[in-house]
Amino acid sequence: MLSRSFKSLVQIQRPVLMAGQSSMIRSFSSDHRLSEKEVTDRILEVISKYDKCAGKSVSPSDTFKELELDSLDSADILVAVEEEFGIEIPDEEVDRITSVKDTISYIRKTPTAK
Amino acid sequence: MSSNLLAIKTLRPAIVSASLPVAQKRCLKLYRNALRSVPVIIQYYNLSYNVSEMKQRIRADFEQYSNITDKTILDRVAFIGETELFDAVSLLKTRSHVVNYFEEQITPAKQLSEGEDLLKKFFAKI
Repeated sequence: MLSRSFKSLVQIQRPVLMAGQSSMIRSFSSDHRLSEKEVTDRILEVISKYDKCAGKSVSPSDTFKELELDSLDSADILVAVEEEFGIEIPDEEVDRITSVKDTISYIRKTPTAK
Repeated sequence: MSSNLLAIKTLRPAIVSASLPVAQKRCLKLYRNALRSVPVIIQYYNLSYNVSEMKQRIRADFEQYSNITDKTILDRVAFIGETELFDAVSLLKTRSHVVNYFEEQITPAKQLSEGEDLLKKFFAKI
């Protein structure tokens, strides 16, 4: 009898602390990676802001070569993407990235991108 | 003095690239590192340039050597660039060094006119 009343007391008090805040708490087990659409939009925005791409329509299927960008331009764009997502792309990965699609898929599989 | 010694000790050795593509990759790596360190350099040396202006200046520096196809020359240029960048971000330079670099404009190599070219060939034979 005593233990039951004690338990009910605790049960009443505990949820009060958290009430109304549940939506603001992010569970670390949840999938917090960026959605494909968001990543695509942000990368396309970064690329279309680049001088040599101004006025061109950039689509996710384009390679850097199709956009008439040389190796220095693609390095420029990748550094801009790094700044946008707050990450640093390692050198061996940079060699593999040759298109907009590659960039999107790299950002998608990088958990620290924000 | 001690910081100087430390910097000299941690300098990378003069790497010899195995092939031309490797040397070119090394240059691209240097280019990315240079772009990444632009905000740091602005902060360290209290510069008042635009970030895009500085990036353009660095780019002009790299484009100047874009037609090099000799591996050893490319290695040498890359080594000089790496050392300069290392000095800049390790505060081994003074502000005037960095300002001089960004003030200096790179002029493309002068194209010889037909007459000058002819004369040059003529004198080369003598």
